[in-house]
Amino acid sequence: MRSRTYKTDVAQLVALSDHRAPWLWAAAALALLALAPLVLGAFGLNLLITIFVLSIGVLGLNLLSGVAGQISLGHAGFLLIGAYAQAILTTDYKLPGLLALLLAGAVAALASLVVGVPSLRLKGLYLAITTLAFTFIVRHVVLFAEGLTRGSNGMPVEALSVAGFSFKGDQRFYYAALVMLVLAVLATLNLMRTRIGRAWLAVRDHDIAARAMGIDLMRTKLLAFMVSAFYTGVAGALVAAQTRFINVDTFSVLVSIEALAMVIVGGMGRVHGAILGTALIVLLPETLNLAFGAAGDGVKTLMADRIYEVKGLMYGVVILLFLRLEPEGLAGIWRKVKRFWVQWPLSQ
Amino acid sequence: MKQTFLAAAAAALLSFGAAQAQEVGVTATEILLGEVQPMSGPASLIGKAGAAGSKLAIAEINAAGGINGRKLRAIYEDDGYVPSRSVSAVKKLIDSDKVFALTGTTGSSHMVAMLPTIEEAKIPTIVHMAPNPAIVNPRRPTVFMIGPDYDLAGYVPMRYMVDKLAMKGGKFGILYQDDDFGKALLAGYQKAMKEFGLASVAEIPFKRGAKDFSAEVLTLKDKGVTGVYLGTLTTESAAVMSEFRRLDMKVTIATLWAGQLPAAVKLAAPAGYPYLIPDYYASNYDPAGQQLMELAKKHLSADDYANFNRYTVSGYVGTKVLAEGIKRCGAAVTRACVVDQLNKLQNFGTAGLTGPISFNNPKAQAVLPIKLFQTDPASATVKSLTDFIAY
Repeated sequence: MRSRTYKTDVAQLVALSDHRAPWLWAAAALALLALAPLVLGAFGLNLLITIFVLSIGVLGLNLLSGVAGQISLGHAGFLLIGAYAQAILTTDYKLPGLLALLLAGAVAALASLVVGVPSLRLKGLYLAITTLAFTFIVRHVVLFAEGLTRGSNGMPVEALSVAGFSFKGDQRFYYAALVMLVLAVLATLNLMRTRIGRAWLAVRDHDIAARAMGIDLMRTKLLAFMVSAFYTGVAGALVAAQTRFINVDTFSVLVSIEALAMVIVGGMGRVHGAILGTALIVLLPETLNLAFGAAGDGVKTLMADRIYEVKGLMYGVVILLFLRLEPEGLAGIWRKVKRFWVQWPLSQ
Repeated sequence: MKQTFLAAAAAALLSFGAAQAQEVGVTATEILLGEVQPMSGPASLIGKAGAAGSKLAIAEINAAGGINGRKLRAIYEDDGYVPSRSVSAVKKLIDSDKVFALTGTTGSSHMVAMLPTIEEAKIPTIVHMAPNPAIVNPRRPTVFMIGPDYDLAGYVPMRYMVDKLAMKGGKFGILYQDDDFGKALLAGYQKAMKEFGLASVAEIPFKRGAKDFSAEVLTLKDKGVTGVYLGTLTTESAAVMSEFRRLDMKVTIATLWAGQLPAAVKLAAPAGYPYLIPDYYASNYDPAGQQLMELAKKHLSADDYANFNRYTVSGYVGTKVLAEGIKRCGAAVTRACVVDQLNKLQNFGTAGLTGPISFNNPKAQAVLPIKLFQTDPASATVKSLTDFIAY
């Protein structure tokens, strides 16, 4: 049985994990993921790539909504900005893929000031509506700025390349997306332990109290929006590099709702929750497909005409069940399982 | 005894070899096809109808014994009309489900997004729902497109207004979506204006997703337009016509093929304008369309039958064309053979549902003749004004 440890110096206090076990598990998971292209086909890889890429965006949203407590329904807008920035910078300006990726994040971060500034005076539903309006504005700007974005025709996107090495093809892009996700996870874990990370938590819990303790609310909230938008912009750029073609249809308002669902199902404010939530939502339609397939021909025939409606319904039901039965989401379940395992045989 | 054993072993080896040589998605008894369609969301009206057409063709073919002893089966993937999901869906069909060919490929930008995957897999693909010129320019060796370029949809009804409705002295206008699709319609409209020396007094672009057309309609009224082409889709067309009625405008209206969807006709009916629709597929009210509906009643479920519209005809024709390519390969069905046979396809008949279909041209595009229809707002139905005519 593992016991908790007392921290006796600063190095122990700031360490990402106080045990070797999490590192070993993480290394094992990474090794498994690194071997995945050897056994998975294009579709399986495509699903994993989607999970990796969206997880980066959801990590960003989680920082804003889960950690800093600022609700956003506008992340489809940041995703769209990142995707178009990547498309324009690589296709029209022939910038190297990695530089374009970082610039795409930076452009989204700058654009976040449009909603970040009103957030200083708005809370809850009001902020949600403001951010929602932001998505509509961005979509319209993209449609009207035809010279830059090709309007509703959409844009082709160059394959991601770094120092002359092209990540064209599912297998290569898979590793690029995996590396980006690992970097995003490490950055997030570290960010949450910094002064600004703790300030975000304080603002989430009680912003007036946080202010009374000397936290600059304006700077803290704006930084939350900018960092979150940077992550989402990078995710958008990766979405563009993955599909190699973008138009505004890919980034509907529903994407923002789905992203929020991923955060909630995963567990607000938890890094691993963001990844688990994304994986669950992305894999849910495939799981339902398998479930209907395994249920036999009778169910298949019965569902033949209604299958798509049923899938949509199940999607909602799963989210509702999580909210009702496990408000801490998958991260909560993970914590309980871990506690049972660590404290066994004394676990309850 | 020893000889018998050797013969049996040789036969087993041969059959094993044949099984090994079998093409992806083809077994001794079945050929697996795939479709990516918008089966959920607002565009499901199109996707479900298209899939119903494909199901109908497959049911009909299978009821007649299949193709050279093999039955057809199809897997339908929903993309929700989102290009990134189209890419994911087509990868699933090719890589996970291992389909032999694709017969339905959702909207135009979605198809453009799927093209790299389709080209890489070298999979026979029939595009029959959204004939975007970018799909066949440049030519993709395994992709075949059914449908004329969009500009004909803008040209044909304007020509009819001059030829048959004696509107040569009229004032004309067009509302078009400000993208490649809308510009192709505008090009067709302008071609008619130039060819017949007509007065085009208003050419008004609108942005995709626009819902309010009151300013545009007011401009058309101010310019005294008597004939107008609406490059709008279902709900937008109904909204524009409702504005025309509110302003009590006396105007002859034409729109593109989506205007003959029963839902579109019903939506526009209250405005009371009998508008012109060009289409390269038969309508539900044509004898050929009626015959197909009878067949649909026999083979499709009530839900699929309820989705019947021009896209059902589209799905049916697309699958029948692919089936013809497969049939011509005989017992040895391979992707290369089907592509080769489709490349040779000439004047394939569809019993009046379309004009003859030919792919033996540099683009492998069946540029179909167009039929003109007109709606009857009182009965919310459609009647044909012409036969299929090549322009």
